[in-house]
Amino acid sequence: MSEAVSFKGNKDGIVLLLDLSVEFESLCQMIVQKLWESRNFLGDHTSLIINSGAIALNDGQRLALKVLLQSLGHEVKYFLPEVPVEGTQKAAEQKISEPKVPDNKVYEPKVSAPKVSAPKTVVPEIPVQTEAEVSSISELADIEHYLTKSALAVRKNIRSGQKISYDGTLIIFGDVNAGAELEAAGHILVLGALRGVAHAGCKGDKKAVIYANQLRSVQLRIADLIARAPDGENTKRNIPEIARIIDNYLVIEEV
Amino acid sequence: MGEVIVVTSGKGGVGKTTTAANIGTGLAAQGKKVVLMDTDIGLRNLDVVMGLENRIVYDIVDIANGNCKLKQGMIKDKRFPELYLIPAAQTKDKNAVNEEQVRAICEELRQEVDYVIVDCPAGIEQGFKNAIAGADRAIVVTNPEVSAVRDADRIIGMLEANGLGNPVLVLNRVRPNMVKQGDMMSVEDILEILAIKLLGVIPDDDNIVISTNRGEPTVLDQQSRSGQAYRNIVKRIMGEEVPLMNLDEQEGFFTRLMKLFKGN
Repeated sequence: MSEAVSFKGNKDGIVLLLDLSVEFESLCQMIVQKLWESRNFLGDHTSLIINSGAIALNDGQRLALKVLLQSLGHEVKYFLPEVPVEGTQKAAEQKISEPKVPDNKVYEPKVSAPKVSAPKTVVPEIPVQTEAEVSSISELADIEHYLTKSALAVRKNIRSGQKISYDGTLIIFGDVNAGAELEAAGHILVLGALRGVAHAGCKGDKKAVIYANQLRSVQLRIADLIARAPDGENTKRNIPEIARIIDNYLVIEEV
Repeated sequence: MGEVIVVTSGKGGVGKTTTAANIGTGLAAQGKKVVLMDTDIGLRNLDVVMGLENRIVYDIVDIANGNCKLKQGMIKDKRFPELYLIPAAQTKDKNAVNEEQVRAICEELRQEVDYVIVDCPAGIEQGFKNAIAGADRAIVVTNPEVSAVRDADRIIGMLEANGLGNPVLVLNRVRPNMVKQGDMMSVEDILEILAIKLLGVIPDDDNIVISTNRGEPTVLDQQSRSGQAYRNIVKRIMGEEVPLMNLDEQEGFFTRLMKLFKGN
């Protein structure tokens, strides 16, 4: 069985091949893991082409992936297929060509490792690190986490009464339970259920977004805007959603 | 070497003391040597639930301060020869002992017995810190209520931060009929939030009130359903694989018949 997330090289650069038969939320997690595992091979700030095969990604998914890659220090060069209609043809081409060029495929060495636990050590060279931030990380001494150039990724459920602040983008692999708080100067991505309060762009960045596989917060904050869940409504939706500021309104959209 | 297990919850009134008493008694009934330790100084209850109130001479503060020997402070249970209770002091408060003292007591006890069951007070202050100081593992008790689950979540986080990762959950006072009607959180709902291993589910049972008032742990009552649930938990603590009991059996044929007549 081939992996749901893999790399391939083409004339434009490195292509990140995604298998959309896998749930989008799981895909996001795999992408982060893959990129982390291949950090030596990818280097700093690489432009990646994202190829989702036969099915084109929708706008929300594209936004989520852009944020995801950005937060890991990379960027999206362009998406393939570009629009859903052209999708089928291009995907077909790609599917045929893929097995023919195995030598173009660049896999990082640790492909078979099933659960790669992120190193507990903090990467020393972090450009944006303040005093407060260091303390928030040392509180997490027992938590598996790692830092990229601009993101702190935490592999743990964040429970009631726990707070994580970070001066960049925050990625949580796990649930953020009610009563927990997240605060990030950049984006916040929760690859699990977000039930606690999240504050993205806490230093005023209105472009910051909050993404969660299950967005169930009672309150969200981006920059200086605060949105709360409607009273009495208790819908449990299991779809990934993304919150961002559009025209000075905090808008939550399906991904 | 014995094992020190702390029973904790965050929120009060969810059944910590009842659970500690039943687990301790259940383990003793299985032939284990057990000490129950009440760390709820100032609001002690475990002695009452165990029916041993009239035997208290020394308490945990006396032991901690060296006013008596450990053996003197261990009250022998009236049912089992190898079950002991270390009661909390009632006239002092949580700051009467510190973590080091409790840890030292636990260390001494674990040389002597198979299990030390520590009953933790509600809250997250000094009493909680004392209770978990010497523990090897933790049992978190909660009820199917949003506030209790919220507090349990907080406690699990604090346990993990204090090196007691992987606590197990006892879900107390579950009412299967209410769950069925969607009026109560289900076991699954709670496990989804707390994401820890389930040790057992105790159905809401009037027998608990009776047995608590009488000082006779329900785990010894072969007829009661909550007793059965606790017996299963005891076996799981001892490493046996016991399937979760079916909570729906609660309604016998007669009850259902009655309901039918009542049009309920």
